[in-house]
Amino acid sequence: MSTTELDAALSQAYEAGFVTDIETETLPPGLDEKVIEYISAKKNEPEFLRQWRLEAFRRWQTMREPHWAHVRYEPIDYQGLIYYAAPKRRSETEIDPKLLETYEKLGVPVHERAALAGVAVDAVFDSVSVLTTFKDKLAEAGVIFCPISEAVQKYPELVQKYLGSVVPPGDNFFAALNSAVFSDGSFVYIPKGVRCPLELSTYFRINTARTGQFERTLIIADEGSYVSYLEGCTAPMRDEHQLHAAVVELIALEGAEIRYSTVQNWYPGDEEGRGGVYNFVTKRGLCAGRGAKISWTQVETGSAITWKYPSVILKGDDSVGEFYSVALTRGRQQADTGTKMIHLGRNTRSTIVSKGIAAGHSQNAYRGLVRINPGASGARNYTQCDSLLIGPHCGAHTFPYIESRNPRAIVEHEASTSRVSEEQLFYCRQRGIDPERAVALIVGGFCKDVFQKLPLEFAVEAGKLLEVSLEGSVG
Amino acid sequence: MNTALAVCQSGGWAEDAATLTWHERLAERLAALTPPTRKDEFWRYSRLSACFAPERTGRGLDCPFPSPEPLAGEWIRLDQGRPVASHTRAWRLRPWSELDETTRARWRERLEPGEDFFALRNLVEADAVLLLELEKTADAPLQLHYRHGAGWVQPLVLVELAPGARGALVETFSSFGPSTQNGAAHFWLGEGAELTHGVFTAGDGQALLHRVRARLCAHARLDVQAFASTGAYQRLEWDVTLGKSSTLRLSGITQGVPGGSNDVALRIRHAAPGAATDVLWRGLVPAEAHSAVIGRILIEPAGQRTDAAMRLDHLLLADSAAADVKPELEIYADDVACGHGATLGRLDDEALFYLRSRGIPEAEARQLLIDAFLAPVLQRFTLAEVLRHVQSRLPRPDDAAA
Repeated sequence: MSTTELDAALSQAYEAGFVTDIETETLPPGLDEKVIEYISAKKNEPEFLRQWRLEAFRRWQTMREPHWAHVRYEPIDYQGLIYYAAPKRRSETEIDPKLLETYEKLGVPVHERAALAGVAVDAVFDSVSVLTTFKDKLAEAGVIFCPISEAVQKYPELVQKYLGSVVPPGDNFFAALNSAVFSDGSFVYIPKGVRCPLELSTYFRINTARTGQFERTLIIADEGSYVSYLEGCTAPMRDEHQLHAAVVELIALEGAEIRYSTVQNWYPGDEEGRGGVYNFVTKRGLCAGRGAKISWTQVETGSAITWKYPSVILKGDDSVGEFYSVALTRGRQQADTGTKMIHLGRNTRSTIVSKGIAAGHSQNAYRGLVRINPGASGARNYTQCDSLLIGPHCGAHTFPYIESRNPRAIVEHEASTSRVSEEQLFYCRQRGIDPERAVALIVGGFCKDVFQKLPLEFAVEAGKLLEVSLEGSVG
Repeated sequence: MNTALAVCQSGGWAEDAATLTWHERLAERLAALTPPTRKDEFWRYSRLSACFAPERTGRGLDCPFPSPEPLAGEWIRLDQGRPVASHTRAWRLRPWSELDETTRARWRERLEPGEDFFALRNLVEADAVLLLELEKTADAPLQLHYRHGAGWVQPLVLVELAPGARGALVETFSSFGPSTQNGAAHFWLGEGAELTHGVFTAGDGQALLHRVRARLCAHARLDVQAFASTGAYQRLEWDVTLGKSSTLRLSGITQGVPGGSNDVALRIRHAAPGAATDVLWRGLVPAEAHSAVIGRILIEPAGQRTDAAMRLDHLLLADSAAADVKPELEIYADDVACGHGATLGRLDDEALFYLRSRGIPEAEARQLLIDAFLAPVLQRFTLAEVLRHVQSRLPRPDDAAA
């Protein structure tokens, strides 16, 4: 295949790039204490949260934007962003049909008839959650699944206890910004011993121009409980960059298990790098009790820039952390993503499997930290990070940090970088498979370990997404 | 002592106009730089405070060294950063003052230190600048024996191998007392040249920083065989740029000492097609010791058909031992096969049990396993000098029982 054909195929359309024409209530661009007061008042928040936000804002003002990641971008004008945009509601109960249409078009099951899909959905549109399905069914099992703004009203004690307990407001520049201005997100609480009867899911959509999305997700799995949570995201195609700075906090108490899966398909920008979402996200889980387990699975195909390190703090003895990731970059996309596994408890175990695929002019970096603290006797980590290069203009990088303070721990790390092998391609072509299918097949095989960890519906979606993204990437 | 050494002893740079101007500019750059901190990626695991503990109290500070060990074969002895005695035949030895302007200009260009604080400081404050040249093939290795024992000591050795030349250079370091040696060696390997570079460190001095910067022309080959074991703080750096179809093989062992901290920093740059890198570094970390290896392999867009592998392993021998490893790959070319692996752990309990159940006492069993851990590196050590030193320094069964 010629370079022109290859470029044409790589620049195929971004399917989720449409704009929903809907009346919205927005704040003018800019950020000061008044904006924070406005957001807090709009949501009728208790005093503790208002103070918490203001404190985070003051902290943020003293902090500097981090630039250690292997990504380059123009400075962000934080005063040029809109920090609150919400679709206008006709009434308390009625949802604008255009919104429902949007989610239908994106294939998100927002009608409860979609029970066959076995997924309860919280749909976040710009700064607010617009609907949450199957709340009643979940309530029967004692599961709380609602927008975080609702949780603040209904379960303030839970929110106050756990909010910021894993990612404190001053954790980093983007987490501080999020703590100050977060507008919505999902809240999940699974009571003791309950296995959540449905997969829970949040779908994030940025619609309004110049809007930053700052959602906050808080999931608490009480002792012996289990929950699987899925997250999806898209945005319209715009020439300007949009900022998405989310914070996700997971707390797994003794014997609890949280599976958190993400298929991230934010608008990646065009071939020249115009537009696209800056995805600067802080995700962290705390295995607080003995035998707790947190598993992150992510498929990252979107965003102009990804800066994201879903981490696990393994505090409870015998707790388990997992990270499975596929990150595909093409065009001018840049990704610096990976994980942190902080081993504090005894006999804690962690597994990291990261697959990076770079095509076009993109840069794809894995950055990971494995830290074994002095108390983590018997800890065990296994890391595998592989990169695949497609085309001569892209870059694939690996930056692992391995720190051990306990000789009774074992850490193993391996990494490889190569391109799609001629032999594999030849083998496929010999059997009548065209080159594009062959590459998709090879990449599918390369990512298999990760896809197997995704819930079924997501695995299918992720597979398709990858296939589409890779079209024409080989000649 | 020969004339060259006598000239060397009078100071670092000769005062010709071009060198003076260049030196002044370097001094200005140094004044504007601050020393690295742990926020710098290549220093994040370093015990930097140890380097600055002995304040420099003036160039050429004397130090009463113990009687020197006799050196065999070809050798140069450098005390406090300056050559004091030598015995060389195959290698040509010249101080900066004896170089013609063309050679000086060439080396001034090659010595560009970038923003590296310690490299810049070494250039500005060099105690002696010595050029070693090898035209053909030297049968016996040349040993450079450095000793430092007071204040800041900053030797600078330039090494040039003519195209097709073959030789071996062994740098040995003995450090004593409250001193910091901030030394540098710059290698230029002409087309098809081959250099085996041995490094062996020992002593109880405060701090040793040694930087090796090597440029490999097409088809050249550099084979590094290093053994690092010394006092409070030690850092060995290799900064290697590989030309077309050149080869780097870097093998090393860190043997920590209680209370000490060892750093190894590798920057390997593939700037032309068809080059190969093979790194194997293993560390033994006893009680209260710290070992860190930071390795970066950079494949530039021109570095197609690169074959690069880096393996970094550590064995922690006691509860209070600590190790940090950061093996990085930065790749901008697609036709490459690169990989790295790293492990951190202690002696395998099962293997120990297996040996003990066959009647081997614990200390001996531990020693066997340590030997097995180091064997793949030792097998790559071809320099008899290094091998001999290593074997005399490796832990005995009593040490291993910790």
